[in-house]
Amino acid sequence: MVDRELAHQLKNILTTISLITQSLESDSNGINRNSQKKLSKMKEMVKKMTVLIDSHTE
Amino acid sequence: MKYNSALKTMDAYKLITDNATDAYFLVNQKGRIVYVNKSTCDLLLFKPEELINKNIKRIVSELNKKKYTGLFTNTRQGFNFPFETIIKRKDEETIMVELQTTNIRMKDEIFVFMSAHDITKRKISEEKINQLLRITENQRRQLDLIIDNVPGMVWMTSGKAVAQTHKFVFVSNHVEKILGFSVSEWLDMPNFLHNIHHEDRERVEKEYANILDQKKSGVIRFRRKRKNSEYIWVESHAKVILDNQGIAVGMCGVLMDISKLKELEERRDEFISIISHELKTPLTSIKGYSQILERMMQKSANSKINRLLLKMNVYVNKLDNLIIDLLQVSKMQSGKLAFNYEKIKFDELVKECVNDIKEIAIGYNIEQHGKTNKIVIADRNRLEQVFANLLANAIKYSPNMNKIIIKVSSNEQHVIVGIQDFGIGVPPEDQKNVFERFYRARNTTRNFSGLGIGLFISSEIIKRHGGHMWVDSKEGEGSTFYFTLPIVSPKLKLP
Repeated sequence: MVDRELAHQLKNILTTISLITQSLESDSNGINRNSQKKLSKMKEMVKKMTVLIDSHTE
Repeated sequence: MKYNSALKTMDAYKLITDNATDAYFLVNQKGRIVYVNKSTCDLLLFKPEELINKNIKRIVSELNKKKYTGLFTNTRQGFNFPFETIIKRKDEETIMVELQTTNIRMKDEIFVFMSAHDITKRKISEEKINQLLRITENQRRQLDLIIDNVPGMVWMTSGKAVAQTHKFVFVSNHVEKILGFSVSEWLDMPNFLHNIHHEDRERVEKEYANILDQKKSGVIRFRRKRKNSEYIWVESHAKVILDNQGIAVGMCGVLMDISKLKELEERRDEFISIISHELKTPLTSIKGYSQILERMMQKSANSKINRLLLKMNVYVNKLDNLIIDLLQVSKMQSGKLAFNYEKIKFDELVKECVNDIKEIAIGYNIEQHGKTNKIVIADRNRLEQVFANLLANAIKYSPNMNKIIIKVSSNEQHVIVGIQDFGIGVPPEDQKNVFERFYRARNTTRNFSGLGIGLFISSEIIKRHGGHMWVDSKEGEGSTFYFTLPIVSPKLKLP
């Protein structure tokens, strides 16, 4: 139970971070190419963390 | 008995019987009473003249009248035997007597001599005892039924203040299911602490000693060996049995198999350990990128981007704190959480912590009452973490109130801190458990996020400092979370 609750909370935060990065990425006027790269790296890490959590809760 | 030769006249007979405590009466062949002693009159409430020359059936209960016909024939034929019967008093009340009959020959006439011993009180007592025995038997059957249906091994020991001297005196049939021993095999165990895993034995002995010492109840978890030599985790609920003088004479309780629960706990600990360690590296990268992005965008005039970056930082920090907490829980479980102790002026530490929280908790009225002027040995960072956690909880669980009171005091041995809020409070049934890992009070789960590890960490930190943490709360009115820390002499030098 705790495993699932914990995974759920962690994934909730990760989803929010992922959504924020997507919003930042989509704002092509305010974000330069270098920042876009950082955002995509961040998204990659968020995805990695989500996969890690899933692999331990399945 | 040779009455014929011993008692030759009625006068001689009267002399002996008039002072007897039992009722004596003589009945002639026609069934008429020819003599009664004083005790007969006292017992039956008749005057002698009301009985003399009256038929014996006058004092015989309706229920027993038939018996007497045979009785006279039998007695006259020489069959003498005592029997219990019911006789009737003058006031129509019946009494139970033990009647002894014998035949006496006087002046060529045969009489039946009867002696009646009042056994009414004895019979009432016997009936009461039988009634109690029936009730006891009934209760014993009910108890057996309950014990057989308890999902654990019910046990009882006999012994005094030292658990080691206790010996099992009762164990329910469940012992076979849990530990593989028969009831008689288990009762033959040399002592109460037999078959406990050697790694747990010292701790278990201490915990039972504590229960016996404080004459209270307690729960202990340990490993116990089954008949097949395999060890299983059990949870023993124990209560001290006291005699009339309040001296411990034994213990009773229930022992349950918690192997599956332990397995789940171990899997959960493993999960927490793996997940917190594996997430640490990608999280460090995310934190790094987030900080770089924030720096890069500092000069951006785009308010939307600034707002999103601020929000992202909040969530990254939230994730970071969660992972740190999980790592701490994991380290605590494995005993690897390190502490850096130093001598600390306690009032200064409190002041710093309160100032820190005041900077963040804008709009909150945080009052500090009291001073200690004491020194404690503590890990500054860990204590700051305890303060931060308790103050953050006070804010979090007081959604409609903005007042928090921090009370600081001391006694001869400890500094005492109380952090009081006026929020939702902790329901009474949850107060004992809120310091357990992942435990959340039932009034928090719906509207407040969290995992139930903050209070566990805080309480463990305080325990490691030799202190104690507890809560005093009223649901709907608020809570005060207290903790103590041992005071040390200012002259004490740390190794």
